[in-house]
Amino acid sequence: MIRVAHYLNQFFAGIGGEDKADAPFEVRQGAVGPGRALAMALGDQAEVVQTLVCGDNRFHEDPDAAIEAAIAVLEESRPDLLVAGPAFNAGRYGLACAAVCAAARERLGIPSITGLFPEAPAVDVFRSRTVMVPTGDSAGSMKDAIDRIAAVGLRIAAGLALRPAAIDGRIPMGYRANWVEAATAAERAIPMLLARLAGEPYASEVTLPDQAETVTPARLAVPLAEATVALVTEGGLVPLGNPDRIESSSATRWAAYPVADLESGAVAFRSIHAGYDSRWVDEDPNRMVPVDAMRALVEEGVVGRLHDRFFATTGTGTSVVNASRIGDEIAKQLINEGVHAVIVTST
Amino acid sequence: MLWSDRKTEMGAIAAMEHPFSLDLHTIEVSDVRFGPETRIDDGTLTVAAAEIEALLLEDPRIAGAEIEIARPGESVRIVHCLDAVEPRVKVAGDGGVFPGFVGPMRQAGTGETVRLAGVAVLTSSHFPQPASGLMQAREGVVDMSGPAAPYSPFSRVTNLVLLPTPNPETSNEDYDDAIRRGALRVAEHLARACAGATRSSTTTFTSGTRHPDLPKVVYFLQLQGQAPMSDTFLYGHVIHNLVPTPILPGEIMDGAIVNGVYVYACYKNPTYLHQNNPIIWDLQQRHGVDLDFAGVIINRGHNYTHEEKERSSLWAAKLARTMGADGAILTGEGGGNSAIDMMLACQYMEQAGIETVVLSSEATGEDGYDFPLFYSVPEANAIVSVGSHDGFVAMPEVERVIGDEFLKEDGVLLAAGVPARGPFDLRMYYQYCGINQLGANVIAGRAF
Repeated sequence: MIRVAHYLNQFFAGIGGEDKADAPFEVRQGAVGPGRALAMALGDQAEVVQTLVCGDNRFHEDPDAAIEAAIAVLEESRPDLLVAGPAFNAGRYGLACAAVCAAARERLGIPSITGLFPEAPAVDVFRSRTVMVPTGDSAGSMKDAIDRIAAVGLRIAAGLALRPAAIDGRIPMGYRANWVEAATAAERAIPMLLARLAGEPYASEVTLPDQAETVTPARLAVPLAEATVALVTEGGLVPLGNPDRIESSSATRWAAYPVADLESGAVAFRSIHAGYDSRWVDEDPNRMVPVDAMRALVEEGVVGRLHDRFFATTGTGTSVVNASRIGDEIAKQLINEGVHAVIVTST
Repeated sequence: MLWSDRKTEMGAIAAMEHPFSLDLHTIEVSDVRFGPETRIDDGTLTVAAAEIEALLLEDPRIAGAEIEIARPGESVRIVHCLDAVEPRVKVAGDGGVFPGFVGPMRQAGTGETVRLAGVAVLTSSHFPQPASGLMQAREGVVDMSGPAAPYSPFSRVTNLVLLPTPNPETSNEDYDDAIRRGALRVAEHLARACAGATRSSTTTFTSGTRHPDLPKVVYFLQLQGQAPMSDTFLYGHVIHNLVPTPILPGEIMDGAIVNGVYVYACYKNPTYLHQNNPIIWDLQQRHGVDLDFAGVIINRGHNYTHEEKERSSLWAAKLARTMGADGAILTGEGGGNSAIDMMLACQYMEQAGIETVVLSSEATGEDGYDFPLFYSVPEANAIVSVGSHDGFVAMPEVERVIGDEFLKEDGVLLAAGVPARGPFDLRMYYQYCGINQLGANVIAGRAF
């Protein structure tokens, strides 16, 4: 038997409306209000053993205390599943439901689920932290919401892995993963094109970002003839042996190396980049990190000075998150080291 | 020749009902086993291993050769996978099945060709010289059963695995050429020995019939061509200077394109998948039913500069327009570099009023929260996902390993000393053709 705990606000627990929103946290045995419909939907395999109730204002006056109270009860009762709500489009109640679910999952490892209108404020705040099913915007959709919660809830209580949100009938949690489909990608592609050509609805399997990030070039703070210029590369140029273990693809790391080592030949440099024919760079690293050309420009007085370290990472197959972080970290380091401008060589 | 005579000759060609027509006959293979003589009986392909080994050893760059069989459902793992080829032989018409490699240089996509369906000649080997960067062949793994099997389309066919070893004096590029030609010769030899068997079906690829009442669909096929170990061959030659070019569907299905890309195995479009290009198979099946298959444009992905990418994409869109395309399917091979070529082609086609569907891989990051595309254009609003190269697959222990005792390390992403028998967690990168962008596999990236 799957033991289920249920969280409700004062209204759905039958205490009262807005005037009773300061109702204190309490625990009741068995199912209350929509918990009865939930018990029906869960069927014979599950039982609603207790109901946690808290007034919406009471919860938000001190959310930490309300969550601590709920956690203490759940730690004691150790249910197999926590259901909160559904809260539909309610602001405060939705946030309370999602927060209690997230805490139960993260702190006690208890599978938890709530139901929310997809545009409810709690959805974006708690998207990645708790399982949610979509509901209508009001309690008019209670029956459907309870059925959805029960279907997904029984799966997660049984320890089954999540399936794609569209198959489970959940609100997406913000991450993507690979999934084994019945049809090949080719078999899915041609019907999608025919639907487009016929003006029929179709669903792209990847949706584009709302807008691309635009970057405004920084202004040079000093005349170029006085500027310290650094060389930065995504060409994977590292000392032989790759002491900093920079990945040959999908990089998570970067490093800085003395320009003098490259110039003197005291250290052998190699490219560990997996995405281009690097033999010519191994032969002469200046082809990737053009120290020789920079020295000539300094000599001619075009640039003030070449920074004494160059910065390297690998730019192939790198995720946007890691690429952004690496760029940010290198930029901060360059500023700390008094660099005014950079030349980034790419492959 | 006088113009008037030439005109008569051209008129005669135009009058032919189908100037280019390939009959592709299918012989189904249900099992493969070793025996004294290469032949097929009731769908069972018997392979004389000594014949195959001798064929490979004809090339002095190959020092040794063993052969193994891996069947769907067996507790078998194949490692170090390189190219895969479907057995084919030309039974009527001019030339061979791999022009530029096996047989004389002749027009592919004409006459009659026999294919042995359900079997792949899969090469597994290591290279003689140390290599790094783009120049190294990376690990490629196929599990024939179990939870990792769906991550390679080659778990669904019987693989005759060629295990050549290199002459140690040979350069990597020479050895690559040797094993490519060797596998193609083996593929033709097997089909030749079985060409008389009962055929289950015949598909005709023609450039003839038009269906003006149906939407015209063009297929844009982007090929990877970068350097040795990351090249595709068109009629035996690399494609580094290729601009978008019309090609007959029958040419591609008849061995005009041979693959030699060993970058990341998950992205690979081996020769087998060009011979059986799943988009062309489907478009041909639907030709005259619910669409008019108006042609194929091939192009090189991985153009060097943005200007070259723009140039190439403009030409692709122009060609699609001249073919009268209402819609286009776009497929590619490789990661971020080729994604730019692909998305620009999509953009220019859409701007020309051609509705597109792009097959794309994803790079979702280890935890799946990253934006999944390397590059995108606002017009790319119909994308089919072939799955992400990020993440790991739990590979169980298997009874038998083909190819090597250990996985091939390649710097940092795959460590040295991992026993191939398992269990281990393997990055998606190394799942052989797991997320190929020809659309031949069943993996898809999904929002969870």
